Amino acid sequence: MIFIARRLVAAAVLLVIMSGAVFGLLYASPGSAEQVLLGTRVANEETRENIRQRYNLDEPLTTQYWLWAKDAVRLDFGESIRTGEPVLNAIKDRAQLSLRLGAYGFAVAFVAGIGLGVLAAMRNRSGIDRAVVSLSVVGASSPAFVTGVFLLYVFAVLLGWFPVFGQGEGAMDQLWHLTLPALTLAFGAAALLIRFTRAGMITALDQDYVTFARARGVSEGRVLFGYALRNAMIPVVTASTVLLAAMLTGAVLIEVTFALPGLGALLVDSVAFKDVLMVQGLTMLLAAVAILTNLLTDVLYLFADPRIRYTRVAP
Amino acid sequence: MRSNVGPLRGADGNGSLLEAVGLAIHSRIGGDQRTIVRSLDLSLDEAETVGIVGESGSGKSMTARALVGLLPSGLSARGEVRLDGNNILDLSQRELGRIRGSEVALVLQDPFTMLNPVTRCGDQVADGLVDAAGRRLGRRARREEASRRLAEVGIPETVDRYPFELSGGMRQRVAIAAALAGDPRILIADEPSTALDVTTQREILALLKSLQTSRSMALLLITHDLRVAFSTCDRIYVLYAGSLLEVGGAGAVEAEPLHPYTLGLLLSEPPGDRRLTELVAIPGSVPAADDVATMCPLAPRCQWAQSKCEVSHPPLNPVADNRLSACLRIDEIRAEMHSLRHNAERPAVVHHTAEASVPLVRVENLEKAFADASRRRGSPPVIALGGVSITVGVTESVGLVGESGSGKTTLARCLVGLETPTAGVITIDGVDASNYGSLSADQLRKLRRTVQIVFQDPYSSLNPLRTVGSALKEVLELHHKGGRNLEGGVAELLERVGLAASLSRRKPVALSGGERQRVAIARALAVQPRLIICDEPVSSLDVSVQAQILGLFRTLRDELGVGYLFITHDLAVVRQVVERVYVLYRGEVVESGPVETVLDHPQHAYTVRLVESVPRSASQQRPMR
Ligand SMILES: Nc1ncnc2c1ncn2[C@@H]1O[C@H](COP(=O)(O)OP(=O)(O)O)[C@@H](O)[C@H]1O
Ligand code: SF4
Ligand SMILES: [Mg+2]
Repeated sequence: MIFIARRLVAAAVLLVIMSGAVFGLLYASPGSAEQVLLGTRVANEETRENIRQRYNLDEPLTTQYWLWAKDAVRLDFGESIRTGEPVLNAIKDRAQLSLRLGAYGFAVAFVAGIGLGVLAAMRNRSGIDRAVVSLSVVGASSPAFVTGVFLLYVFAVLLGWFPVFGQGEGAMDQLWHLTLPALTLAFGAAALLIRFTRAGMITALDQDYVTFARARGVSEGRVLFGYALRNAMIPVVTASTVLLAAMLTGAVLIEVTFALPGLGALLVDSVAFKDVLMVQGLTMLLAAVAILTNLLTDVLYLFADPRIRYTRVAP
Repeated sequence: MRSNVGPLRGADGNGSLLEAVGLAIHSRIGGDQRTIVRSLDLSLDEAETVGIVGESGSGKSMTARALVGLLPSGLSARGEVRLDGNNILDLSQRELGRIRGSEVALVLQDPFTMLNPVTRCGDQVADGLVDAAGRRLGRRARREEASRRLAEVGIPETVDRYPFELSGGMRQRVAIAAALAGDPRILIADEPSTALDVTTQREILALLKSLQTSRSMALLLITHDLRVAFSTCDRIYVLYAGSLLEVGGAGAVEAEPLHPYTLGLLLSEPPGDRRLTELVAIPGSVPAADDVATMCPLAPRCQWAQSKCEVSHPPLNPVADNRLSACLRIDEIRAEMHSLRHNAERPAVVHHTAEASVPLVRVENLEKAFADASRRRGSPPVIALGGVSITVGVTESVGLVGESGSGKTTLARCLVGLETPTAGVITIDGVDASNYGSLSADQLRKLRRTVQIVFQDPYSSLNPLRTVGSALKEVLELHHKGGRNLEGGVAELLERVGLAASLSRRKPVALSGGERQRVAIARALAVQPRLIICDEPVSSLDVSVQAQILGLFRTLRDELGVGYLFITHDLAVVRQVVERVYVLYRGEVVESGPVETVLDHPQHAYTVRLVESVPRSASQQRPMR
């Protein structure tokens, strides 16, 4: 478990570094911190003074960071410059939709990616295999907004099977509204998963342990899933960080394409309005999610491959 | 071709349990078809132990896999494999799935790759278990039964262990338990002891034999080692280039082989007590089955070959009581073979290179500790080398012997920069090679041209995706050897190591073990090195191939003046190749000197033990091993 402890420490260090960078956003923005925080409000002496007070702008930089970080740990990122609403509230409002989109997309990507990857490997070099590989090449090379616009045009505009925008009301309706965005999100991720799974499965199916399992009558289902896929998944788990990055960037563009008021849309709006506090809150959150997923990946890897559990050093 | 096995069948005269008739195996890579097994008749009776003996590449493993309907993709079988009134070759994978495990099970060659690395041993054994109705057992029952099965092979404690936690011998036991989970009537074991060290080999064979008796199961044992077959089997099939050359009772074949090839195999085993003048009992190399389709397959290598041997493929014919031989001339040459066997083992004189000769490699007080090796938590750092000093003179051949884990490979890896020593000095041809990381590109190039390494497992050191030709070409190009005619350079290298130039188009997967090792040697030779470090270069090879590779090492030495640092656990082997030897034990040199002195009069207790573990040569007729 030294392994996990080490990774925890590494994650914490990374989080601190990221927080420094996020805090720095305020000073990296053009104009003085005061002007930035003032936004479009009237610039009289009183408001200026309020802002200086609220954000401790008169303190030395390190103290400022310290106070900011203390608030950030409590998820208090201040108030939106644009709306005056607490940043946390705004994020909470929007997060639900993004989470649902992410989970939906991930589920589709996971099932389709691994399923098709396994299928292609089992039918290696057949027509099915070539079709799946072509699909994954298309998926990996088309940007999310292109896929989104394409799906929108075909299934929403031409065929009218799905709504063009909005998030719907009620569980089924929401699911229906989220389907095209989720498919768009899943497309790129599934493409990566297909590649990893297919390669892993082809290698695994060729291994002695698969032949030996068959040679002693182990059932084909168990051979495929307990032996081949179980081993093929080890590199896939390692690669899931790449997957997450792909999904995160994809999500932002997709929300904009489908006019979904999620976190991605919020981020884009906030950047456009120079709402630095909102951007700080969002990036900090995303960074934390990314770092935690990384940690989770490491732990998963530990479970996926018992050989790692017994070694002291990470591979 | 109809079978000739009739007279050889068990005394009861019933049909055999398993019978192959005219089994032929072909491979198709790209457009061209290759014959792997030409036409093989084989029978296995209830509770009988039958051996298939042959060199690597003769088709043993593919025969075994065909018998259970599990040929790798690209290979196909024709003929008949009869089991319970079915022809295995006609069954679907689903139908085969029902037969495998319960009727027949196959244990593959390599215990290190055969088990699922991410599943506990108990679960793997349990995967083959079914209840009376053929269903999977419940969780609890599975574990209990798996423990019981593992106890049957002597290692009940491994039920919750992962394969990587176990030694090779233990893994082989787990594999055997797993193969027997469905209580098959026939167990096919493909070289079950080849990958293991000498003492473990004996244990595994004894285990198989006792399981065979207690379960009264039929055992088809595939081995390259005639003596293993003699001591374990009732009957023996000798396979060569996809054709059977001799069939007979084990005792009878041992007493008098009735095919020149069987005799050659017997003589190929290097004796531990002397150096032989001539190592290659069977010259040349195993031909492709297709290249000898219309002649006696041994003809190109047989000292008794005549023109009549080259005009047709000789069938297996009865030549004595219960004996079949595919030699056309056996009646004429029988006496000659007999006397050859008695004269074969004349000792040779070792020529020592003047020992004061300039050292090419000097290793002084080399230490290497692995602080964070993949050991369990809390264990202290592993001292792989605890102050080792050796020298290797120019054109000298030096042996480094010791059991696995004694530090031999670590030393080799330090010498070529794959490992950085913790302390000590390595000097190679005047260059301080203690730390490869601090060397200039020029110095590195010089070292690479001076010292090359050949590993035990030629497969892992060859890129599986590249053809032999392109791998060799790359080295030639990199070192500007071979001039403009790279193709010619490749062909020349292959010829040097006794391979056909046409082999350059193949990938490592389609080569036999001996062929791969020759390719690895060819690659080392490409830079024209002065010293080749050979790390167990023959320990994964068949005896006859081993004899050939050892012969090749000797030839290269004579022709090119290249020296060796020869690392092995096998004293019989080291004796054939080197002049001086160092005995390594737990990271320290415990004894060194001229090879005859050390092996004939060992001083250190450990060396004594090593010397005693050497199997006697076949001609000394030790009854059991
Ligand atoms: N997967 C494969 N594809 C094509 N040829 C193969 C394959 N595996 C083995 N061969 C060829 O089949 C022949 C017999 O191999 P094998 O049965 O493994 O021999 P043995 O077990 O006697 O050493 C060899 O010439 C080898 O090159
Ligand atoms: S048939 Fe001829 S070539 Fe073949 S083994 Fe007999 S003597 Fe040698
Ligand atoms: Mg084999």
